[in-house]
Amino acid sequence: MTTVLILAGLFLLALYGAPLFAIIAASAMWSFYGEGIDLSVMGIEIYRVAEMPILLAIPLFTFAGYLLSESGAPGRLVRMTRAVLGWMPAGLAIVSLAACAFFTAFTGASGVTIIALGALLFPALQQAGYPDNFNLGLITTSGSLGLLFAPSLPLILYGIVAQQMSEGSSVSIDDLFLAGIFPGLLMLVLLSGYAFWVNRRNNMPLESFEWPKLKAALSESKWEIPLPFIVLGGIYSGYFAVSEAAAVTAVYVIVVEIFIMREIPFRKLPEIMRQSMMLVGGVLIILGVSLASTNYMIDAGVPQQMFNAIRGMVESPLGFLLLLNVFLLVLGAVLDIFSAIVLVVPLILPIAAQYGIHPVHLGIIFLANMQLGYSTPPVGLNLFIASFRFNRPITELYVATLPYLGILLVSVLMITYWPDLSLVLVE
Amino acid sequence: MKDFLHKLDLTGRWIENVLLFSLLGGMIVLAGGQILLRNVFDSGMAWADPVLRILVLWVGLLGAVAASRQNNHITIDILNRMLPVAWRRWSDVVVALFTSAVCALLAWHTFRFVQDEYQYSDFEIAGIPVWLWQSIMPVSFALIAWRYLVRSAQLVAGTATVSATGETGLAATADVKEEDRA
Repeated sequence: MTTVLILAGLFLLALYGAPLFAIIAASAMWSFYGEGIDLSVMGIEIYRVAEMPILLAIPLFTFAGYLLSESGAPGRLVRMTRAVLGWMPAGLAIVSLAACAFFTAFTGASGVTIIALGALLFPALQQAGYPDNFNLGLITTSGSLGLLFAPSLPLILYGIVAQQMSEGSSVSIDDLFLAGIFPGLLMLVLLSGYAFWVNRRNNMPLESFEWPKLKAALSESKWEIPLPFIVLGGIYSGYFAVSEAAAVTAVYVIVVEIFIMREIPFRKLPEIMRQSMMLVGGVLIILGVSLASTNYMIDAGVPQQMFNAIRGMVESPLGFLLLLNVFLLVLGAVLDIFSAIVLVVPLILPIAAQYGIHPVHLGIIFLANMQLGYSTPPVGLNLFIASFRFNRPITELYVATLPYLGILLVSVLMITYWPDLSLVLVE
Repeated sequence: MKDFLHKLDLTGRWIENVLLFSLLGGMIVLAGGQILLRNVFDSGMAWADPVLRILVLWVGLLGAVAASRQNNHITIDILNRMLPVAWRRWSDVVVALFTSAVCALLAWHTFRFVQDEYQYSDFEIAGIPVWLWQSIMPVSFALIAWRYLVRSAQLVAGTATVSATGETGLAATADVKEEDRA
C-alpha cells in the first residue's frame, strides 16, 4: 500500500517537472530499502559508470559535435550539399534533409541541428519560394533525422545498455552502426519523395549544377570532408574502437576549428565544454541511477512478469511488434530518447528476445520510434526548439509537422516489419 | 548575506568551469595520446585506460552539477505546463525540495560507500587510492542538493525563473547558446 502511494507520488512529481534522475534514484532507494538492502549499494551502482570503457565515446563525440556546431562547419556543409544536390527538383528541400541528417549523426540529436542548421536553411527555403508550413515542418522534423546514422549518440547508448544484459551481450556498436544505414536512408528517400511531390506544381527555378561552385564548396570544406571517413573507415577497418574514434574526432575537430580555421577563439572553449558536458551529465546521471533501478527490477523478475502478461494477450511476434510500436510512440511523446533507452531497453530487450526479435533490429525499431517522438505533440523536443527558434506558436508547428510525421510513421512500420532492412549488412 | 551568496555562486561557477575544462581537456589529451602511442610506438600507458573510465564519471557528475545550476536536467513536466505561472512557482518549490532531499540522501549513502572503501580497500588506480576517485559521487550529489535547496529559496523569494516557460531541459541548453550569441 505504502509502495503504491509512494510510486504514485513519484509519478506525479515527475509529471510536475522533477528531474528524472531524482525520480529514478528515489524509486530505486525505496525498493532497496523495502528489501532490507543497505542503501550504500547506490554508490556501487553509480560507480559502474566508471567501469564501462565504451562510455568514453559519449563525452568526446558530444563535445566534438558542439564544437562543430559553433564553428563555420554548418554553413560549409549546407553550401557543399547544395552544390552536389541543389540541381534536382525540390533540390533545396532535399539538401536540407541530407545536411540535417549528416549533422545530427555527428551531434547526437540533442536539438543542436535545428539551432545550427535551421537558421541557415529556413530563410534559404523561404527565399526559394517553398510554402511556409512545408519549411517549418521540414526543419522541425529534420532536427532528429539522421539519428540512425553512425556515430549518433542514441545508437551508442543503446549498444551500451544492451551489452549490460545477457540477451544483448552480443550486440556490438559496429553492428548497430551498420544496421542503421538502410533504415536511415529509407527515411531520407521517403521524405525527399514527399518534398518532390508537394512542390511538383510550384514552378520554382531549378538551380544549375556548376563545376566551379562544387569545386569552391569542396575546397572550403576540405578539412571537414575527411572526418566521416576517418571515423567510419577507422571503425570498420578495425583500426579504432568506437571510443577511440571519438577521441580522434575530438582531437581532429579541435585542431581544425581552433588552430587551422581559427573560427572559434580558444577562450570560448571552456563555455562550449560546459554546455556540452551539461548534456552529457544529464544523460550519464540518469544512466548511473538507472543501473541501480534496473538491477533491482531484473532481480525482482519484472521483465518475466511483463512477458507473461503480454504473452496472454499476443502470441505472435508480429502482434508483439505492433504492440511495441504503439507503446514506443506513446513513450516517445512523453520521454526523451536518452532516458527512454536507459529506462525501457532493459525491460523490453528480454521480452523481445523471447519473441525471437534480434536485439540489433530491436535497437533500430526503438530509435526509429523515438525519432518520431521528437516531433510528436505535446512535448516533442524539436517542436519546442523550433517554436523558440523561429518564434512561432507551438500549435502552428503541430500542424506543420503532421504530414512529415505521417511519412516517418510509414517508414517506422516498414523498419519494424522488414527485419532484413536493418539486418542485411549485419549478417 | 546576499552578497556572500552571490560571490559563492560566481566562485562555484568558476570552479566548475575550470574543473570541466581540465578534466575534459585531460580526457582528450590522454585518449588521443594513448592512440598515438599504440599506433606509432606500439606501446601504451597501462594506467591510462582506468583513469579515462573514471574521468567519464567525473565529467558526467560535474556536468550534472553544472546542469543543476541552470535547472537544466532531463524532465517530463507535462502537468506543470498546464498550471498558471503563479501556481507553477509553488509546484516548482515542491519539486526543488524533493530533488534536494533525494540528492542529500544519495550524497549520504555514497559517502558511506566511499568510507567503506577507505577503510577496507587499498586498491589504487594510477597510484591514487580508489576511494579518492570515488569521492566525486558524494561531493557532486551534495552540490546538487545544495543547488536545489538554493533554487527553492529563490523561488519563494521570487528571484528564480519558473520552470517550463517554453523549453524542456535539453532545449534549454540550446536557449542558453542563443543568449550567448545575442
